[in-house]
Amino acid sequence: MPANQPGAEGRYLPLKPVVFHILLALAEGDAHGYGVIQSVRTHTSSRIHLETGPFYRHLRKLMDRGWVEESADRPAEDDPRRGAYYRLTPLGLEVLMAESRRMAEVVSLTTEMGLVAGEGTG
Amino acid sequence: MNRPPARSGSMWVRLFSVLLLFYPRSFRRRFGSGMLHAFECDLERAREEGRGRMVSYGLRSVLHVSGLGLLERASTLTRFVSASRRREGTGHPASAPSGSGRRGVPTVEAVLTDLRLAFRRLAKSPRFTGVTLLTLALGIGANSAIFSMVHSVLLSPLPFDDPEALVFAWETRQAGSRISPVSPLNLREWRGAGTQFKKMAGVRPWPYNLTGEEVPERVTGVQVSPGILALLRVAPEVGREFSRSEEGLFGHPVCMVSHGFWLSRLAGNRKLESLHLILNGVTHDVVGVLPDGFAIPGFGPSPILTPLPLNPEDPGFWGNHNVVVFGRLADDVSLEQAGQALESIAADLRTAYPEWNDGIGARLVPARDQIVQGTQQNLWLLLGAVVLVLLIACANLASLLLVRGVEAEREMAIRMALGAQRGRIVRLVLSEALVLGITGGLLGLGVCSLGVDAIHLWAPGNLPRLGEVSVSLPVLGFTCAASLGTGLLLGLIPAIQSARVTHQDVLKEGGRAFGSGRRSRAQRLFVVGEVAVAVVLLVGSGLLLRTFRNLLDVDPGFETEGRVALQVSLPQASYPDRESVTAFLDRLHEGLDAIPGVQASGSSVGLPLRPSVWRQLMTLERHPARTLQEVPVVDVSIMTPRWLETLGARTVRGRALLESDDEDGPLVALVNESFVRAHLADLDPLGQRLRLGAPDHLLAEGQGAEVPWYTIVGVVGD
Repeated sequence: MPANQPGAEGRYLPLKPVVFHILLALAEGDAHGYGVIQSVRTHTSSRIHLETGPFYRHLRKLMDRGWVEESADRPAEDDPRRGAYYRLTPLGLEVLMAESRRMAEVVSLTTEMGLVAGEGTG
Repeated sequence: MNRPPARSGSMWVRLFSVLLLFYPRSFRRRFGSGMLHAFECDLERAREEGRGRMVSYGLRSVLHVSGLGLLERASTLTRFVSASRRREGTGHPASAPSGSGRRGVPTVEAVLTDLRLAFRRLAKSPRFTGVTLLTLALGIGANSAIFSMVHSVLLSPLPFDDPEALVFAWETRQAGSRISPVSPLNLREWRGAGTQFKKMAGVRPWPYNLTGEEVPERVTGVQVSPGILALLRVAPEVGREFSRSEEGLFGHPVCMVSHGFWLSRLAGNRKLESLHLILNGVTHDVVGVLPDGFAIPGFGPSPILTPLPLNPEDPGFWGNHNVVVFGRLADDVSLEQAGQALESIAADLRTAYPEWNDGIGARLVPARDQIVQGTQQNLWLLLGAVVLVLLIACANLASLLLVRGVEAEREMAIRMALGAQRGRIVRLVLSEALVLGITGGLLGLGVCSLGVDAIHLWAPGNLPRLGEVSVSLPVLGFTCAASLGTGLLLGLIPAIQSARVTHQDVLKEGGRAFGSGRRSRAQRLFVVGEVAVAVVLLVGSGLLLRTFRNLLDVDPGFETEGRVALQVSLPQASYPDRESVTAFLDRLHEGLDAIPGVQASGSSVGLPLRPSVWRQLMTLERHPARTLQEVPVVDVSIMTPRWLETLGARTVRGRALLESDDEDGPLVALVNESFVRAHLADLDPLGQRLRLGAPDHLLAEGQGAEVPWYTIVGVVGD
């Protein structure tokens, strides 16, 4: 799925919050399934309470798009029942960065308008 | 921290891993162990928060896994389809967020999104979903179970080759108003004369005393004509069936056994030459084994079969009408043709054997009708009742969904304000109901199979074709239709209601929109409908219960408390004459009366409230009949002196039988009140004499002297 083309950004962005956070969690480092789930919950202070079934559905889609792949890296004495480890692909990293840029633009716009501080428009 | 615990919630874990089968195999391979691990960890965390939390989490996950698993399979299919389309160069359809592709038809993607949304919303309220699924599972499951009974018993054809050609042949009396089983004489004659039948065979229940083991055993089997298996187009599992030569009274004693008997008592030994059974004192060779699951139509499975003797030297050949006859019609012969042909044969027989066949005709009944007669009304009624119960459940659930619809109105309104199409909203509500219906139906299948097991356990023993009741393909189809129908029914009204809402109204009201006029009317209609149906069901079952109670209250004419009945048959070989039978009975009652706790014992031929075993012509000395047709037929029973006392029957007049009424005493008889009403209306019954046979002037020379006269000494209550 060629996402390096400029048109791709319009197609996949903005990312769903859940997807964004999954990519974010993987950006921190390779992790296994449950580890990612826990990271997402921690990062969003459980506002996004990600559960097993939906998570793996998202994961499957991300892997289909080529943003995430299985990682061979795992700690030596780790419990194999945890399942496979995953990591961001370079493509996935690019998508994550594109989305972060987009959000930064939005934040700077709203900061200018004074919405972030809670003052409301004039 | 991430290590899953060893034992707690292991039932949930096992359930989860089983439900993972909903996912396609490729998915399971990649993610299966990770999913299981994550589930275990979260389950443990939930358990730490409390048992309720754990159950709630478990239920949610069950729903997720089953639903998402199916979605995953559907996605695989979609991707395959669009990939192949792309390869063909037609390009894949636009999957716009509003979900309509070419010509406004919802794309597969849109449907999947709807389903996913429906799952999410349902999973968010596990209690509502749980209750709804439970109700639907019970309702649909019960319907499927009853339908499986209706289908197996009433709708499906008999499990034989070309079952429409199988018919039962009966004798008729009194110009065709009553049917009765056939005498062996008529079986022989009908069988030989008719060309309308490929084959005919007779069946007669027969008791066997199986001896030769440590404990003698009484087995109820059947006597069958040779060729019965060929008639039914069934081959024996081992060996052969009976041949014509074995039909005579002096044919070599042979027997066949059922599959179950062969396995349990004869160790499945295929060398039949070495197998013998001692039945009624005579050694029989085992010549054949029936196939597994075989049962003669209209009879249950019989462990032991012997040839039905057709021997004119046996007096029973002429006058015992106790053979059930069925036959297979020849090709291209209709039931009417065969019936008329048989009737004309019966007419010939009336002339040929006047003293035995006077007034006897013939009638054919198709096999299936014969077997299921009497049950149709009850079964259809039962099905109707269960359908009504399901409708009540649906009405309840529809109300619940309506309320949910009200609560979700704001959400719907916002969606519509944001541009979602109205049609999409309807689809969303409908998909929620469909998901509920289909899942309920799947769970209902589980309930159905439990129900079928229950039916096998609890159905009345005389429900015909009980063994065939099972969850078969038509039953599955019925369940599918029921669950889809239920889902649509549940979804339609709330869907229409919610689609009619305009988002401006709701947002303006700024809060929960409580029942507007439209909503309350629909709910009121539901309540009224439910109450009406519930009343009908209650009245119906109340009437049924009352009828049943009345039946129980009917006075049978004897006491039923504290009494036990046994059936004994004495093999002719060991008890050939009257003295030996009488001696046996004396010993039997001596032994029985000696058992502590036994107050009295008695024997009789036949039990009260059962069909009579012995019917005879009867003549009263005072009122002999003039013609043979007028001679009344009565049910006769012989009994030991204490029989009536043991039963607790009432003696209305005169006395009961005494010990002194043995073979040396006077010949005495007792009659019942109905007999007095029918035959002795104006006379005092005591002292009248009767005999079992026709009046003198209707008998051949000298025959009358041999038939004894009995004096009536008592009248018994009905």
